[in-house]
Amino acid sequence: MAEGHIRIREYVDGHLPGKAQQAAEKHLVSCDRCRRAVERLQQRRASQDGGGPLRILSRFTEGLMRGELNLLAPLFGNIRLKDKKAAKVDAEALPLRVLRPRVVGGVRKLYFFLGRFGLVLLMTIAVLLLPTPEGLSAAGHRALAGFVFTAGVLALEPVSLPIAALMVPVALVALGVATTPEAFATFSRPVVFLILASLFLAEALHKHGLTRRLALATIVASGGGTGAVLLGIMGIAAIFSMWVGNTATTAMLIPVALTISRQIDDRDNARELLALLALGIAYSASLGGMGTILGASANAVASGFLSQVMDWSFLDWMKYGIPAFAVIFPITWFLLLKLMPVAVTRIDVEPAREQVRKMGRMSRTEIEILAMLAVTASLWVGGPFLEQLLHLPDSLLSAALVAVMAVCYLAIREIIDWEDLKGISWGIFLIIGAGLSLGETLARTGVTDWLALLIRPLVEGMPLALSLVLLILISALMTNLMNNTTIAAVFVPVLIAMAQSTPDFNAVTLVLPVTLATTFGYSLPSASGRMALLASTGMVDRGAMMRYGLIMTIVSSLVLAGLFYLMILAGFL
Amino acid sequence: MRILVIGAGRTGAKVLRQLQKNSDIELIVADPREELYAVEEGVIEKVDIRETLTPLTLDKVIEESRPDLVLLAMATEDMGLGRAPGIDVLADALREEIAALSLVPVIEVVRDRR
Repeated sequence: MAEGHIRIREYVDGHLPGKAQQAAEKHLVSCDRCRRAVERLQQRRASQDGGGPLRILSRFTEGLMRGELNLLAPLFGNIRLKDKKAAKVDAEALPLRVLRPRVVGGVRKLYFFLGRFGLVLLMTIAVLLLPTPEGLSAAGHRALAGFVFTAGVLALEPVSLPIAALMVPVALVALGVATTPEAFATFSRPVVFLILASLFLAEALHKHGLTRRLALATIVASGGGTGAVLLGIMGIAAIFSMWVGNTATTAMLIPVALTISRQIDDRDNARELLALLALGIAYSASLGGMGTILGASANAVASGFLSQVMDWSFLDWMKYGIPAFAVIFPITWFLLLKLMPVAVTRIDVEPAREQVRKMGRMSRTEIEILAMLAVTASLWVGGPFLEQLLHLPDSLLSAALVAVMAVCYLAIREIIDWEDLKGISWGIFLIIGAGLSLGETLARTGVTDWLALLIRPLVEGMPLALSLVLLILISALMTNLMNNTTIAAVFVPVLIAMAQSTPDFNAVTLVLPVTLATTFGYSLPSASGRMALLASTGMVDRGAMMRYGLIMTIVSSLVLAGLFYLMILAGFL
Repeated sequence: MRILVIGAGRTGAKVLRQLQKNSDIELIVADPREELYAVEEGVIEKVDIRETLTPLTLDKVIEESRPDLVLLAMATEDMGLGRAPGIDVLADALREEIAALSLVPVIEVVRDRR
């Protein structure tokens, strides 16, 4: 028993020894908290025992999200209803268990690939067989099929995402809507290198333990109140995510959340706290990504398109991204605490303090990395001004080049080496390149203009606030099902085309809110790398992920719409 | 000397083969998976502890095995956590967290390249 409370799971499962069981029953008479927890778990267990159609549907959805089933599974009667053995083992284990392996291999793996890829091909062929929509050229019709292929292959992931992205130029060339040089041209855009360099910088932080040190120091500084600890770890996740990869930041901070949760003796309380911290990290890493161009690949794609139609710099993005982050971040923290109340109100920060003490004083290398990051961030913001002031060669201090120079500096100082850089998720380079390639093909073949005509009723003749709410909600809900880079790749050119033909709007008014809304993919593992990571580790119950995620998505979308509405009214846009 | 080897996949099997050369070393193997390369290859008969090593389970695993040294020999792809992006960064960070928390010496014998 911990802090006088009973071990809920052991009690419900009848695993407490005789005397402890009796003592627990006595305790339950006087302890409301434990009684509620017992009732909750008993209800959960009872609902799991059922096998009605809703339960089967829920398990099928869960299987899809885990990647254990594909959409064709019901045709073959392959819905695995319950892993009874795993459930039994879970009940017997004493500590809280997460990161439990699931291995899919051999014939099953091939079956999943064929099932998913077959479905993507089927959808693509179906679009090709449909009559050409009115107002769309034959090439546009084929490009639309290319869009369906891209959306399918990136959403269903028959292979890992970077390889799926590589299939996009192949499909575009095969459909006759791009030549090979056209399909690959976008893979070398400066923005791709900006994102890559930010991953290199993340590797430097990770290699030298800076993320962990700062996270632990923040927890110590928070004083131990659950809300303050959550705010601290969310703040660190958000700040890092603005400048380095947000999924990498989440991955680096999850072990810290595990370390905090391990101090809680009661497994149910520990699980509650872990779920709260893990969701907090994932949400705030996404939100931090709103702040800068390199915060998310969708931002990079949107910036890539915006810079082709207007002067668009790193600072321009921050002018809108930072206020959006500053408003939505505290609301998210507050909502999380309200939606997921935890029994633990105080966490002992002594173990975290001990870890910080063990790490010793910050090394010169760590200080150098922090200083270099500060200089890099300053140049990202003020580079264009310095360029003019010092009469430097054009674009010498562009965001991408500054990032690459920072990486070179780290390598020259031997803070990172090529071996470290080999280890980063290079796949992002392919994903952004593919997104841009698709977007450009859609624009070239007239699909964006055609889609703009379809979407125009959403913004024309409708109150501005309502238009914003609709566009943002559509983007935010779609991002749960579709890769956010794909959404940006498809919709940004459409929105730019629409803005150019609608006097009430400019490109920024439409592109920024819709792109920023792709941050709010909180409900499904397919929404983002962060949510996929949480789903894989099993730290957050799928139902909870969906439930809280949907609430967060809707609230954040409405707040974002309100913020942009006010900015438009105030003349900022 | 008691050595706890985490992972009975390909890397774990390699480590175990080397350690088995010294009969004074008492080996304990932990791996949560059902199908294990080291068992299939006959390097070991079975694993002693079926548990995923995380900061949450660390104390229990150490208490059960009472090792003098822990060798982390499970490659990220062997962790069977799927293809989520960032899972390799998580695995790296997790290994480092375990090494930092453990009171027993922990050595990584695998560091994955993504």
